[in-house]
Amino acid sequence: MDNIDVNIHAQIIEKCKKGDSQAQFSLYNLYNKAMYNLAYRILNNREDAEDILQDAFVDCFTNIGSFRFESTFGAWLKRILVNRCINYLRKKKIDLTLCENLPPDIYEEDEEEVNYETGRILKGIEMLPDGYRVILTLYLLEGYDHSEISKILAISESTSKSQYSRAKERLRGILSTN
Amino acid sequence: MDKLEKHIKKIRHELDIYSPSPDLWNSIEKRLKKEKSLFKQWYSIAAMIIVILGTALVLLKPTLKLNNNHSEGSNAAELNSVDPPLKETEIYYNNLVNSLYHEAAPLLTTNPEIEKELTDDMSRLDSICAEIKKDLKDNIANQEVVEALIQNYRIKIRLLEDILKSMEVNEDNSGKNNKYEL
Repeated sequence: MDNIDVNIHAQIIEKCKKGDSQAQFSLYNLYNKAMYNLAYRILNNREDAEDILQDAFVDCFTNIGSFRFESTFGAWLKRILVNRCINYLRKKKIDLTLCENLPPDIYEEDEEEVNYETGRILKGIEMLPDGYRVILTLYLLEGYDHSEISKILAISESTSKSQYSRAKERLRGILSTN
Repeated sequence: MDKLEKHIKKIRHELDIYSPSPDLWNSIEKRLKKEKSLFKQWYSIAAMIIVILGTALVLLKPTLKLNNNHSEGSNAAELNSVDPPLKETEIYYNNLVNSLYHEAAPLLTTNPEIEKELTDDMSRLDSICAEIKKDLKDNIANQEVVEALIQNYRIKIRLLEDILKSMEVNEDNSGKNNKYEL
């Protein structure tokens, strides 16, 4: 899958390396929506998400010469964006690690068939505290593993695992009560 | 993976519902153009610095070479390229010495003793000349050394002129004697 992705965009990326603005616009069209939603989920603010997305695309196109096709272009861009978002939250002194003593899998036992509407899930994610929302977004929605998350957030892998587990339980709680 | 996780994974593609404002691309493009022109500006400044450094190097090269000669010494060709007037003086005196020598040569064959004496004197002067040239390499700008070199050539010339004169006188005298004998 990754290799196919790389090959599909190779020509456009090579044009971008030469500063072709049409090719840059093509890549922007392919990725702007997914990236905007990711930035919004991390930052929980539409304006901030747009500003950081703009920075990330400018950063990406000015440094595209250093992209060596070692990952997909999407993964590379996503990492630039995630790093920028996390740095932004850190500058705002937002604490991304929460220590909360919740018994794990508290709702697991009596959980029946889950069939929440998309809108309800989106609302539930928005209602999570910053630290929980970020880790749930990175692990469950963006597919990073705990080792990668520990590097992105500068925390230990076990902290990443326990914080994700708490985030998930909090979301479950929100969904069941709303 | 529990049921909630499975459900969210299933509807993952429905979760990206928001879009950035349509103006966002224009802002990105504007910033990229600005970055590009900034890069060009830096590029031209860097190019200018390289040109200036290059020119400075070309202009300073003779001075560096001179300093090099001063410390390490060099061959005569290099020395002459540094000081063309000195080279001209050398050529002038050398030509003069050679023409006098050629003038004297036919007469010398008849006077082997004088020829030997002259050859000895000349080789002594040549060795002094070589010493002076060595000093010259070490001290190109020293007027005294240059004057010593010119003085050396003058001695050679005077020597040759004196010999020529004396031989011509001898020849005249022998001619007269022959006449008398006849």
